[in-house]
Amino acid sequence: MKNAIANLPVEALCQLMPMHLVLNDRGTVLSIGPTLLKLVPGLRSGLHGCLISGRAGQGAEAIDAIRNAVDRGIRLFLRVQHISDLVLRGHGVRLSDGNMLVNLGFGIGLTRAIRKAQLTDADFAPSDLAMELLFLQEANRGVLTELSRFNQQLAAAREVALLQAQTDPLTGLGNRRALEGALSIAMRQPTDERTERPTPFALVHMDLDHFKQVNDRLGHKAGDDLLRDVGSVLQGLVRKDDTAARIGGDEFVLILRGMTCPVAIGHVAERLIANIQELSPPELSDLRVSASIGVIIWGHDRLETPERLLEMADAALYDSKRKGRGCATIG
Amino acid sequence: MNSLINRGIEEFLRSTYGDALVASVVDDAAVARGAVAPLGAGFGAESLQRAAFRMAKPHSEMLEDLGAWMTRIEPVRRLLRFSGRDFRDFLLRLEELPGRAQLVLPSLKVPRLQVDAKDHAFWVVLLDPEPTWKSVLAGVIRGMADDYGALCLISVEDTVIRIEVWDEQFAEGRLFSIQCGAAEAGQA
Repeated sequence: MKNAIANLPVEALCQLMPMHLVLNDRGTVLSIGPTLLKLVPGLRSGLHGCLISGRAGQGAEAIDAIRNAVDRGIRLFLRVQHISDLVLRGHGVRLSDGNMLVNLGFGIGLTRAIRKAQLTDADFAPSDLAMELLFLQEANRGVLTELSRFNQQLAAAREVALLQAQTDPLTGLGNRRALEGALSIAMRQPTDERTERPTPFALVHMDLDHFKQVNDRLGHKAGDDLLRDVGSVLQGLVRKDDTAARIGGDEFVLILRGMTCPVAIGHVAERLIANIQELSPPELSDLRVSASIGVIIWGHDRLETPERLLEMADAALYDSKRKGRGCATIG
Repeated sequence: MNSLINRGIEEFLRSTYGDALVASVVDDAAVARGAVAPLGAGFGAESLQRAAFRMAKPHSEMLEDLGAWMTRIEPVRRLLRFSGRDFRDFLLRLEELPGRAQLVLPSLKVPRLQVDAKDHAFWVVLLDPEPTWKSVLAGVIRGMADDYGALCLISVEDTVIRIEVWDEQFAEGRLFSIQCGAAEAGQA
């Protein structure tokens, strides 16, 4: 080789390429970079037992892989035997004396190698991006941890907001939005295991009688107290799968799952009306607070929309009002 | 990204001045913005101004304290230590800081920096003058001088931060290894 320039002392080679390896064709190791030596101390006594080929289909012998890569000018992959998931990668050239100079690097296994061999930044050549990769890895983890924390916080806040958005603050019952949601689910969700259809239910629309007079004569505080008490009566009446909502002023709606028998519904309505009459403020003297009720019984074969169903319950409620209040009509 | 910064500011105020100040800053912000504010919105950059006002401190001093506080947060300290083997090296490589910040949070606009050095003195010049960053950066430099154990004098001028390094090993600096500790790794 006429144009050979580099005639490097071994120390200089070690400084310049801390991950290098010089070896002859028989696999005798002539020089090892200090970082590579830290990582694979056994290399001092040869390749055997230290490195194997890192690519399938080439045979396991490291020296064959190295020769192949050097002579064909292709990339070299070497697996470190005692850290089996660490594959070093690099390339190599022939020196003027016929020996091979190989320079290796870590690739994505960097962090693991650093842990394993306790490497410091002094072990890397300045041209190596190792520090930048580590920096990025740590920065990434920090940001992701913080973001996921923030995400959880957001999800919790959203849940609270959602609940608040569906709750009537006065009574603690659901509001109109909650009712609309519950009604459309009740009409769609196949909760009946036997028929795989939605369970039938009674939609109960209730309006207080003489509520306006409570407000006018006794003040809004008395009105609010009454609504709150009605709320607790309803809360006590409904079961786990039922829904109770205040959808405006003194209007309440119940969804009672599985209630399809008009006689049973009549009993429930009677009891409800009696309970509400008991809440009537005595100061009202000549009048008595009561409730008018309209009921629609829904089964899966009915085709009305939820809105239409509510209108029908409302119409049944007005029938009760016309009949003289304090009673229930099944529409 | 705003949420990260807001949270950083919140943590800074909470750990430095306590819950009471944080609560009053949040109140001030709620009054200024109305009830429906986005989560953590009380802790934008203006909250530092409110806190400074309440603590009767100049705003720039508050920003410097924030910068110095950041260097005491272990993950941040580690990231900063990646850019220098000693304090001088750290100062000289501050020019890389905007690039590094870009890698971590692309939307964080750290102004371009140029570092000049002569004998014991270093000048960090903000190429895009920005008073907020200037103060925060001065705080970061102050905090990292402590971290490396370097004795220095830091003065903030118009668009320049001037650092005179008197003794690099004035005190024992804190340890730094490029390996992330096992405990920390476990947390992530």
